[in-house]
Amino acid sequence: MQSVSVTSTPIHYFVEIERTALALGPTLLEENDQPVAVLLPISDYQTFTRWQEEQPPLPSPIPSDFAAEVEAFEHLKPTLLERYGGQVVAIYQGRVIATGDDKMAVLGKVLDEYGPVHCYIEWVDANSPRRARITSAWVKR
Amino acid sequence: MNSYDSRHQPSAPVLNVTAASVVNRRRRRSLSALLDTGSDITAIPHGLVDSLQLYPVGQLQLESVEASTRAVLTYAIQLTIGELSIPRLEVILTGLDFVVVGRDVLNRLYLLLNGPEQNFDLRTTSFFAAPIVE
Repeated sequence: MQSVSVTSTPIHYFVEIERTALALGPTLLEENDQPVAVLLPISDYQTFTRWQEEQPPLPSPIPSDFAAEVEAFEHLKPTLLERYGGQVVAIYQGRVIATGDDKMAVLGKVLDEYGPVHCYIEWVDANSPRRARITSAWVKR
Repeated sequence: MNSYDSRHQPSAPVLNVTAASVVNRRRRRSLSALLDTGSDITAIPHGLVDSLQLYPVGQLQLESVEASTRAVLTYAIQLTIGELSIPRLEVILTGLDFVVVGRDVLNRLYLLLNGPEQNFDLRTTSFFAAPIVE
């Protein structure tokens, strides 16, 4: 990628670029050998924005309290395997608050007893979390 | 009988379902849903996390058609599809704008796909009458 040096004041950048430079593709703008920005030909920019629009929305971030329960589950796993192996457990505030043999039934117990608390519900199994397959393919038209 | 949806190419069995919060059932949304026997698990659009105020309850390893695997969070919803209402169903999220109904739900129903005539039937009871025992 070609590069061009810029000069600056506290408020403005100044760049002098030949008209023909844009035809050569992206131009890296540098100040004191540090990259500041990239100048794109409009066709490259339009390609980029089209690509950006096609990206799926970002998944929601993992809530920190949920992540803490997952971490507690992993930490407790050796003990859980001994005591609850083959069962489902709900972990809340780092401890087991419900058990059963069906994840949604365990969620029901938690909702009944504790309300909508952020817990982690998982099978106590050496290979958990379980694997699910989406073998379908959608053709984008 | 429901008609196939020609917005999918090839056309596909699609019908409306209702997804609701398991905590507050007044939080609900009616959405278009693709019946997908290739999916182990049902998926709902990302936007429902905010509109139904869902929170994660678990996670699983999701394997795609390319056989690549990644960890995803799971959520619980109440799902109503045809005459069937499932009070608590574990689902994953999809970037698609429709629900993908997997075999976790379809295996609780009788589904008759009539591809040549572009229609399908979905029931909670068998299509075949029980034999009369005399």
